[in-house]
Amino acid sequence: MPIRKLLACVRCLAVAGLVLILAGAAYVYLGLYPIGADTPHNAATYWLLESVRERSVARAASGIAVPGDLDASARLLAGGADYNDMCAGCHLEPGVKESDFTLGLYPAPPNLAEAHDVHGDPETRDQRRFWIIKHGIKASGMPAWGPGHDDERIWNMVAFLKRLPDLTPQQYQIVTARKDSAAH
Amino acid sequence: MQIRLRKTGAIALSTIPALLVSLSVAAHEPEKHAEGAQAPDCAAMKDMDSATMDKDDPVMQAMMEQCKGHMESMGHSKPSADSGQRDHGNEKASEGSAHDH
Repeated sequence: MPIRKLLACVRCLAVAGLVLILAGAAYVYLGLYPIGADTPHNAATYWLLESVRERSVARAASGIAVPGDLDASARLLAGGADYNDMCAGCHLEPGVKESDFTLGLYPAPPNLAEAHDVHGDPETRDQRRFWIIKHGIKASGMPAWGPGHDDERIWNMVAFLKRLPDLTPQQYQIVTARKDSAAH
Repeated sequence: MQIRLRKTGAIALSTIPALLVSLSVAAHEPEKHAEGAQAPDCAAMKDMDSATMDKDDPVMQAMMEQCKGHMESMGHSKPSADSGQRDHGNEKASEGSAHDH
């Protein structure tokens, strides 16, 4: 008797699972999910994607060795110029509160000119930033800069990010300008 | 004629990817970014509160490095010994860097 009950239960669960899979497939193939960047994810999807991202980055970045000279001014200058050219459009600069990219991208890129990074201790933050700059984040608008930029150049950007929230707009302009520019 | 066409095709097939690769590499070089880039607005340093500036701060050292030529040409009002100290600080910072573009 108990075995019959158990089998009936397993059958019920299998049918329920199959129905769920079919319903999920129908939802996907009928194109019912709102994929536009101007419609936010529902809470469950948002939680799932954010958890996947944060756990994946934390695991992948944990073993990265952080250089001891990230506070060198030469790194600030090299990283600042690259940040201004490649990152500021999305991640902003001192005195700028929004851009077309921050308004239109979803998820909205974090404003790195404001001190808000709460991801662990300073070493963990540096590892995390290095990994994200190098490898990018799938389907977020964040590209992988690794293929065209060596590790030292990426560390220079990490060094600059550490000081970016401290900079005034004038300091930002001076530090990020390319000294060899034609306009000089 | 057919051999000639094949040869042309082979050259095109080998040179176009090579050209594309070289262009994509050049696009990421800092020198490429420098074209049309803004020069440092060193005149703004005059308006900054020198009392709050710490010459040991890497940001300050970076700004001094950027504006070294400008300040020399302006005949900076600070005593030359002070400028010398700052330049020395920049050199030390540059030496400490593993990579300088």
